[in-house]
Amino acid sequence: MLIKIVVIMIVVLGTIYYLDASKLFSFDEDHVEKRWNGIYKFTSENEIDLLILGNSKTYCGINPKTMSSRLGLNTFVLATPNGSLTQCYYNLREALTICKPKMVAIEVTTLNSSTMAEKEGSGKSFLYKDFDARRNIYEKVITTPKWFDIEEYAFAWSTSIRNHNFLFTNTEQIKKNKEKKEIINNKLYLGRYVRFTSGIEDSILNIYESDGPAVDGDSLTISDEQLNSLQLLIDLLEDNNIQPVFFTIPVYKDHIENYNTRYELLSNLIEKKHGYELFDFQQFYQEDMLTANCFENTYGNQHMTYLGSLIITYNLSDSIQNSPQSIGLPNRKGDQVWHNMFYGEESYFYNNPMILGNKVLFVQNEIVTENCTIKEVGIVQEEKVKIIMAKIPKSCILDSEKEDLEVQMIVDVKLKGKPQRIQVNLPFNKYHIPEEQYIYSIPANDIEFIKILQTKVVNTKLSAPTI
Amino acid sequence: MLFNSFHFLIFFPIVVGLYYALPQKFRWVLLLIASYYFYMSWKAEYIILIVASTLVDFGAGLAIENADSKKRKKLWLFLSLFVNLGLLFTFKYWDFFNESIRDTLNLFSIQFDPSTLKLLLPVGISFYTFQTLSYTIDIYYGKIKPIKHLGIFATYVSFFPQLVAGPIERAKHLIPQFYNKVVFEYERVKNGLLLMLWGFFVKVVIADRLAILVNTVYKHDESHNYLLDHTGASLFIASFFFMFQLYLDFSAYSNIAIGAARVLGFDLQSNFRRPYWATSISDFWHRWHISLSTWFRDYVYIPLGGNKRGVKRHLINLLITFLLSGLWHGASWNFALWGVLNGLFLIAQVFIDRRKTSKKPKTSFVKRLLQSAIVMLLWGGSLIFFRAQTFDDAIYVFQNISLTGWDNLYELGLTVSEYKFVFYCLVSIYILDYIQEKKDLYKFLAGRNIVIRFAVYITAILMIIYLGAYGEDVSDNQFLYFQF
Repeated sequence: MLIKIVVIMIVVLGTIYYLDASKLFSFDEDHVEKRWNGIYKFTSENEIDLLILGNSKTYCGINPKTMSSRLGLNTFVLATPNGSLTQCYYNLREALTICKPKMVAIEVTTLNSSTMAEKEGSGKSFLYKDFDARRNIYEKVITTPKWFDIEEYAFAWSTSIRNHNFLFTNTEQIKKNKEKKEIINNKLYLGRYVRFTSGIEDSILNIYESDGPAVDGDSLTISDEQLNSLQLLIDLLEDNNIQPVFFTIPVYKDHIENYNTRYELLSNLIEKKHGYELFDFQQFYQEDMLTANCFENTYGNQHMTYLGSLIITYNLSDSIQNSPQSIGLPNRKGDQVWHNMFYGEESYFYNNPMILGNKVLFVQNEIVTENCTIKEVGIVQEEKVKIIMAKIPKSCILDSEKEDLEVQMIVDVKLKGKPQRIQVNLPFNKYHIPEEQYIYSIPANDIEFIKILQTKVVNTKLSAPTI
Repeated sequence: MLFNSFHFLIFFPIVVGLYYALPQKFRWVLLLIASYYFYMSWKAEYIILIVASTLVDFGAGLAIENADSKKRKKLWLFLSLFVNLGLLFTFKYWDFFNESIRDTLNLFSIQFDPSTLKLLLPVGISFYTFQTLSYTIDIYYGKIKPIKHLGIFATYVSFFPQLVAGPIERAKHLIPQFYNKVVFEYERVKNGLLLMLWGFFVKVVIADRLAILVNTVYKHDESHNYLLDHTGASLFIASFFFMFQLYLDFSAYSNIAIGAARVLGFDLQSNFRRPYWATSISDFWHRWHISLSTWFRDYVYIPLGGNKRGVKRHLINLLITFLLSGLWHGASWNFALWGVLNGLFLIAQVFIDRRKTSKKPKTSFVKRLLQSAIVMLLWGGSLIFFRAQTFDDAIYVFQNISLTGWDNLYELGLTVSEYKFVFYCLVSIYILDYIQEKKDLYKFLAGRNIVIRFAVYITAILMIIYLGAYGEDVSDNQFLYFQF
C-alpha cells in the first residue's frame, strides 16, 4: 500500500511541479518578480557594493542609478511592497548567497508594529509574490515557517495551487501564459520602481489643514518580532563584515506629527544600542527642498515622487559618502567597465563630468524647453570619436514620435580653436536606449563646447528644422 | 483543526503511522493525545470542557451502576445531565435565552436588561455532550455497563474523527472497539482512505463552491444586510444551492470522519443515506443526519412516549422532538421554527400514512423522482429558516423568491464556467446517489484494473487541488500595488 501511495504522490507532486515550472498559472511579471530576477541577473556578471533594503517607500524613494553614479559604485534596491524588517532579514540572507556588498542600507519604516502573522489581504499577496520570486531553495525552506502559517505553505510554494482559481476566474491569463515568449531584456535594472510623477495637490493639502496629520509619531511602535529581526540582521551583517547604515524616507511634513517620539525610539535603538548611523530625513526635514511636489498625492500611505526620490537619493548618497562608515566602499570611477555600464544612464553625466581619460568633456543638466526638460547634455569621448549626447526622459515623448524628433541647440563652441556660435541638431540614437531616457546624439570631433544658448525639441516631420 | 486543512494532512498520516507502529495496549494513549491535540489546535483552553464532561460522566456512570436505589441512580444521572446540558446551555443558549426573555418582556413594556456572556461557542460541544449523555443514560436504563478504564472512556469522548461534527456514536457501539485488536488490513485501510478522498472531493470541489454563491446572497453582517439587495431568481438559486451545500458539506465531513476511523480500525455508523432520494418525509429522516435523528428518537421521543400514548400525544411528542432538534442546531428562533416546520411535515406524513393500505405498491422511477422532488421542495423551503440570519430575513426570502430576474446571475460570486461545473457536479452526485441505492460503487471501482483505479484516484486528488473552492483571497490577481 505504501508503494501505491508513493506512486500516486509522485504523479500528483510531479503534476504540480510541472504546472509551476510551466508558469501557466503565473500572473504577469510584476516589479517584485522583476526585482529578484534583476538581482540574480546583475550579480551573475557584476558585484553589488551597496544593497538597499526596505519597502515600497524605498523602491519609490531611492534611485539606484543616481546613487551609483554619485558614489561610483554598484547599488541595488532590494525592497518589497509592504515589506517589514523580518522580510528584509530573510531576503538579505538569500541576497548574500549571490553577492557580498560592502554596505547594506536599511530603510526604517520597515521597523514597525506589524508581525508576519498579521499580514493579510494585499500584504499577504505581496508576501507570496516576494517568496515566489526568490530562487534559493534552502533559504526558502528556512523562511517558510517564519513567514507563513502551516495552512499557507502550499500557497507559498506553488503558484499553480495559489492561483488555481484562474481556471474559473482568469482563463485569459492562462491562455496568455501559454502563448508567452521569453523576452530577453538587456537594459540595466537596479530595483527601482517609478510610480509617481506628480505631487500633492490642493485637495489633499486642504485635508491636512482640516483633519490634521494622518500619522501620529507617538503611536508608532516596534513589535518584538521586528526587534528580533533587527538583531538577527545586524548579527548577519557583522558576521559577514558588511557595514550597515539605516535611513528614513520622509513623508510630507504635514503628514506626520510628534515625529520626535519616533525618532527617539529609532535613535535609541539603532544609534545608542547598536552603534550604527541613522540618516533620518524626516527628523532633519529639508522644508525648502521637500515641497508638496516631492510626495505622492494621497492622505494615507505616502511615497516619494520622481523629484522627491532624486532629492533623497542625493541626500543619502552624500550622507554615506561623508560617513566614516563608508571607508570600505569601493570607488569604481576608475573602472572603464563601470563607466560603460552607467554612462547614458540617469544622472551619470551630472555626477561624472570629468573623468579619467577625459571621457566626458562637458555636461549640463535640466535644460528646460517648450515641450520637455532635457535631463542632460554632454560630450563623450569614445575610442575614436567624440559624441554630443542629449538625454530626454521617456515620459516626455510619445513612443511613436521618438524617431521623428530632433534636439536642436544654439551653442557657443570652439571650432578648431576659434569661438563660434552654431546650430547643432541631434537625431534619435536607436542603438543606445537606456531604461528611462531616449538618447539624441551626433559625432562632433572638432567641437569644444563652451555654452548652450538655446535648446528646442522639434518634430522633423511636422516642422522645418530651424530654431 | 479542520479536516480540509494542510495541518490535518500532516497530522493524520503521522497518527496512522504511529498507531500501527505501537503495540495494541498503548494505542488508546496515542488516540487520546492525538484527539486532544486535534481539539486544542482550535482553542487550547476549551479542552477543559471536554475533560470536565469526561470526568463527570465517567464518575456518574460508575456511580449509577453502583447505586443501591433507583433514586440514587436518578441523582447521578441528573448530575450528568446537569453538567453536560449546563455547559451546553451556558456556552450556546445563555445569551439566546436571556435575549428571548428580554424581548418577550419588552412586548409588555417591562424593561429587562440581562447580562450577556458572548462566549465563543466551543467547537463540537453539541456533538460530544450528546455522545457522553447517551453513555450515562444507557447505563441508567441498564442497556450497557459502565467502563472502568478512564483513559479509554476519555478516548471515546474525544475520538478525533467524530469529535467536532459526528457521527454521534453510542457507547455500546464504539467503546468495545477500543478493546479490539486492530491489525493493518489493506482493504479496510484502502476503503477508509477512499471514503476520505470522496469526502474531500465533495466538500472542497462542490460544497464549498456552492457556498460562495449562498454566502454572497444570504450575507447579513453588522454593517449591511446584503440579502435585501437580492430578489427573485437570485434568492431561488441561493436557496436551491444551500439545500445541496448543506447536504454535501455535512455528508462529506461525515464520510471523512468515518473513513478516518476506518483507517484506524474503527467502524462508525453511517450518517447520511442518500436523503435526496427519500420518497417521503419519514423516509427522509431515516436518511438525514441519522446519528442525531436516532439520538433524539431514543432519548427524547421514546421517553416522552413516542407513538404509544395516543394520537394527540404522538403528535405533541413529534413537535417537541423536532423543536429541540431545531434548537440543537442553533440558538435562535429561526432554528426552532425550522425544527417545528419539519415536525409539522412529519405530522402531515403520519396522517397521510394512516390513510394508506398496508401493502406498499411498487414505485416506478418517475414516481420516485416525483416523490423525492416533493420532499426536497418541502425540505428546501424549511431550510430558508435554517440559513437566513434572522426571522425577518427568512420572511423576506419567502416574499421575494421567484423564478424571474436572472440578469444578475453572474454577480453572485460564480463565473459562467463555475455555474456549468456546479451543474454537472450536482447532476452527477444525484445520479451517483441513485446508483448507490442499487449498487455498491466502491466494489464497482475495486473491480476495475489498476490503471483505471489509479487514474480515478489521481484525477480526484488533482481535481481537489485545482478545482477546489479555496484560497480565493490569496490568488495573485486579487490585488493591485497601489497602496504599496
